Amino acid sequence: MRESDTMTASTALIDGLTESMQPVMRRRPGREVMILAGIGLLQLVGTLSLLGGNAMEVFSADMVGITSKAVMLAAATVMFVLLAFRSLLPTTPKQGKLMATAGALVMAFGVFTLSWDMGGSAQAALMPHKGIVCLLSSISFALPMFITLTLFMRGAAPTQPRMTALLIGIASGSWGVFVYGLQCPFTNIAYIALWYGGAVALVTLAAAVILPRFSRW
Amino acid sequence: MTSAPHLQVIEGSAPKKARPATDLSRLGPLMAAAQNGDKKAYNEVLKACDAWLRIFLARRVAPESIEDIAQEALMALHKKRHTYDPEKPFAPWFVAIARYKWLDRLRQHYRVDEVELEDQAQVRSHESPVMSQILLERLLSHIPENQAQAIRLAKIEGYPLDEIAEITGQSLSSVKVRIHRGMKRMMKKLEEANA
Repeated sequence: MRESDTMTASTALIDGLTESMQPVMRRRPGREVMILAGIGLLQLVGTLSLLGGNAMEVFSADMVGITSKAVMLAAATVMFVLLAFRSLLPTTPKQGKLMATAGALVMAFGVFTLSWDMGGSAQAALMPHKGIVCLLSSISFALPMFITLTLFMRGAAPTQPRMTALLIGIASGSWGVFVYGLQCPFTNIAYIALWYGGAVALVTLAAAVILPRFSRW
Repeated sequence: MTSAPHLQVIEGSAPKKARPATDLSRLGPLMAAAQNGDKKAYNEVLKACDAWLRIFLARRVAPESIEDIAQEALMALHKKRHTYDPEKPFAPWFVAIARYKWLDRLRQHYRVDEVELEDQAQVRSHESPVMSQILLERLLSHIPENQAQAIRLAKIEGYPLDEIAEITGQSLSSVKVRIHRGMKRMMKKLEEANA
């Protein structure tokens, strides 16, 4: 291509973009965080109003265990939501180490606070028939946050779409298991690792497969 | 009698050094005005970014790819202009977008190369190299020699894979694996170097 052709093509594009340009509403991450918090709060209030009786029973039966579990999952949600929002900025560097640190903190907290009582057998510890319900319910509870963060991702400019997708998956999955976990009586580490961890892993896998296609560049 | 040297006081500040057309640091306020609908400011932003992109890309891609990638980066700027925060400097925001589009294009070419490798065994390739030779040579120095040799023969010298297998004394599949691994390492290196 000759230089004059290049300049013509480039100038034509610039003129076209200038001509079609309209005022835009700036992206406001603070407002997005507030919207997400509002949706989360609504979901939490709605869920507790439907399942509130169960949650009260569960908490009164094992206050320390259930509170520890809830704190761990809430902390995971907050940390990964913040990392996901950070990754929506084009200038954000790779966050692999931060992500690993957050994951390690959550796991360490779980190891020290969750119950190690396995009930005598793998069947008793893992309770597959209840675990499947837990897994599917947690995934469905993750959906509102998953969809909201996906929409925010489309409106932002993530330059590491895969990393953003992973963070959105972990954040949404953690939120799903947090909401479900408020009325789930099980606190043994094997059950949590398999069924709660499985729900987070499946949501993250779905995010990793689906979301990079949704980043609109 | 000789008079003392006359010192003349010049009013006003020292003359400002003219900024080059490719200076991105002055574009923040213009981009903020563009977000509010100022077309003249937007045109100036696009022209400066275009000029900068040509310098940025000249050292990174083959000359025939510059135009396409520059236009893609300008389109990306256009689509994502609402994500610029006027309270922050413009240059890092735009450079991150330009870098993303450049690496994205390299990834796409890499994927195409992967598919083409499957059909290339009997046919000598005439396609022009995607990356400039200088950059390629620099990257090749960061990967194991056996992988670098396979890539050099395939991508720079244009040998078909079956001939590379003969030259290196390796099987065809081994040559493919070396090229695949080498390209992957080079992409990783490239991303790390520009992170």
